[in-house]
Amino acid sequence: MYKDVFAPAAPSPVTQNVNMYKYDQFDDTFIKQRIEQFRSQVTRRLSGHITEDEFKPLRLQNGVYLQLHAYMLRVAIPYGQLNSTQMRTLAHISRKYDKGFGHFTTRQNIQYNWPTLSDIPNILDDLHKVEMHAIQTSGNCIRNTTSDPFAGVAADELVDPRPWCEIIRQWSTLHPEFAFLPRKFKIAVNGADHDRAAIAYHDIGIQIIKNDAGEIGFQLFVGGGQGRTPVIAKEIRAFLEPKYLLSYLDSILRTYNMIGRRDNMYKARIKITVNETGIKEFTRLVELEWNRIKDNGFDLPEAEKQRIFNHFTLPDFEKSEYDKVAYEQLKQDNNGFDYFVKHNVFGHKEDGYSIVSISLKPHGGIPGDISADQMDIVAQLSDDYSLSEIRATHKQNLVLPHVKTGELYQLWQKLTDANLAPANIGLLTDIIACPGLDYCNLANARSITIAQMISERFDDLKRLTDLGDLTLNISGCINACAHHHVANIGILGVDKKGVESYQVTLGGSSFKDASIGNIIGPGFSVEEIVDAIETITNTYIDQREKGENFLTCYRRVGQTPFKEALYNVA
Amino acid sequence: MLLNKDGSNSKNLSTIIHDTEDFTLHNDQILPLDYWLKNKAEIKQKLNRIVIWVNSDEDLDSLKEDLPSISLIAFNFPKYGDGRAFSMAHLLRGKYEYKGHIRAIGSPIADQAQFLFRCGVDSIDIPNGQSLEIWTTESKRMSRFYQRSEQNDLIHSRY
Repeated sequence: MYKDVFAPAAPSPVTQNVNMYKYDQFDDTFIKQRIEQFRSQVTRRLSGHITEDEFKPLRLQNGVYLQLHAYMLRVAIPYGQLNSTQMRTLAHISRKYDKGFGHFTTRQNIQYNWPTLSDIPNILDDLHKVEMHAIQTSGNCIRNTTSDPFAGVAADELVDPRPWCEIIRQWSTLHPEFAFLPRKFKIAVNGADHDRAAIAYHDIGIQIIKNDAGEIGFQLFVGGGQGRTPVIAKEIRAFLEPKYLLSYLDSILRTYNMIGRRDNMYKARIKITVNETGIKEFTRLVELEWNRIKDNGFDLPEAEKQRIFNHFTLPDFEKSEYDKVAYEQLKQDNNGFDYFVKHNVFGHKEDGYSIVSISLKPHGGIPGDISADQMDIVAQLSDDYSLSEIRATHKQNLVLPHVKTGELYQLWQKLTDANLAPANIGLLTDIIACPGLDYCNLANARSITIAQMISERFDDLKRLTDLGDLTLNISGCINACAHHHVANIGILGVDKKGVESYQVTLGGSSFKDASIGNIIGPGFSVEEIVDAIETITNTYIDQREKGENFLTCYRRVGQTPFKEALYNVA
Repeated sequence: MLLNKDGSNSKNLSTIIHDTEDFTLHNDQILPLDYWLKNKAEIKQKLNRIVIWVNSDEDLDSLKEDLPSISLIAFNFPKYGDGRAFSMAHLLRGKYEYKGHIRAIGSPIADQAQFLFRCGVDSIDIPNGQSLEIWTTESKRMSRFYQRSEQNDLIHSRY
């Protein structure tokens, strides 16, 4: 029945081999109509037919915020996957409509801080040409589904989560029932043993697992979140057959939509609903609803599921052989390359291939920021070294997922030339920071400045390597956009009688062993905060036992030694 | 003015009753749920059509046994951002198998029209002073749907 209407669009020459979802006529028409809708909403606003207040819910559903200085547009990068053509378009947009840079976010999206409202429909047209959009990147609706940035290629992966993410993306896009929820709603899917998607801190976290019978299914968590009240998600179902994913999500969302609080926006997230209702009762309500609707046509038919899955078949990798002795020699001779391999290169499913992380955390830079020229360079490097594919990560970095190990050195040299080779992935200076007081009208304090100061103080790879795995996140207000609660070292900017003050939390983790950090004591001023961080890392070095990373050490010794060092109490 | 699911519009002949302190019961009134619950016998006897409105925080279960005798249920939007009416319409159709007319009243916005119809709503009472033209355009904005909904249009859906 659909054949004529939904014929696939001709693939572009550059991207046809990228294993990602490609639009057909259906998707194409859908996005076009949505842009026309937004264009008419903008026209209504600019001609004064509607007030800024009336316009607000309309622009938010399409990723347009009103920031301190200007409108901000957030563009969706579904589960962080991009091809080189898309990256070039992102560069083009930043040159034509912004100030020549973009900012990658913790939801694997990209933000532009300076577009004018009247340009935004044209930006959406440009995005549409490369199969991108800004739908539901803000507002009280289901946001961009995030995932493991190494999805599909990680050596430790059980199942590729991307097709499931795409299924969730389509299901949630303009879902008629769930566009006006009590509050925003975020879903993450992880398919590997290691949790690189922070599922414990999502409204719904989905872990793909194998049961004792060897069948694939979903372990579902609900009610995790950050913000004012950080909460670790609770298990709502130990094992869900994959064919029921959408009816189960429908049931969770419907239950939340009906009983979630609407009297106080700070208590409106599902984490509060679950805490106040109790996970047992909440689960009962969801299962009751699910038993009513399952097998009633709300789930994806097998053929449609297969259609989506077909887009994600991994490419036939060329055989990749390299001279292992020469490779080791290169690392020995070149300290910088050795650090890069140690910190930024990860195991690929395919022999002879590597996953390369590009750090957007250069010395003194703004975490997540990238210039238009750098975007073009990354696009070209992905064409030359990574089958034209790129990923954005929730740590505000980029990834080239399919690099021949024998070409790593060459790639590293080119990245170095473009100032894209900081070898600090997973280290202290791989900081997540929100825009803070420099851009955001919710912020109480600057975040970017603090990130820059820290990255300058700790600008020594030998020292950073010695400090080892360490996460440091900086939020400029209690909304916790930079997830400071779940960092090993978290920094929260607050306003203390008109002066910026920074509160430090220790011991958070967003991985499988999820935990929320504890406040260590009174806050620090802008002048004191970097010294305080250094005192913390020095205390770790004093206290650590052999092989212990920061988090393990902190969990063993507790707050006391850190408190004593920070506040000079003996 | 009412905007109907088929795109047509018609005059709204009913009055929404908010205050039941001092009023005379007659046909062409949309009665509040709690008034209906307290005065079922009288209403059934006096009126030939039972028409009630429900606020977004009220419980659909309280209507359950009388649904076959109720001709129209209107869901109130106290403000556009309160999206419970979408789920309530869905539940009324799917769970309670309600066959009567469902209306949206209060303060919905034009950009919600198509969502409402897809969730099982039959007509929307357009708030005073708003452009019928914009409402009509927005109610037909999208011709493609990614997901199943209560009122599913197979021709325009993936499945």
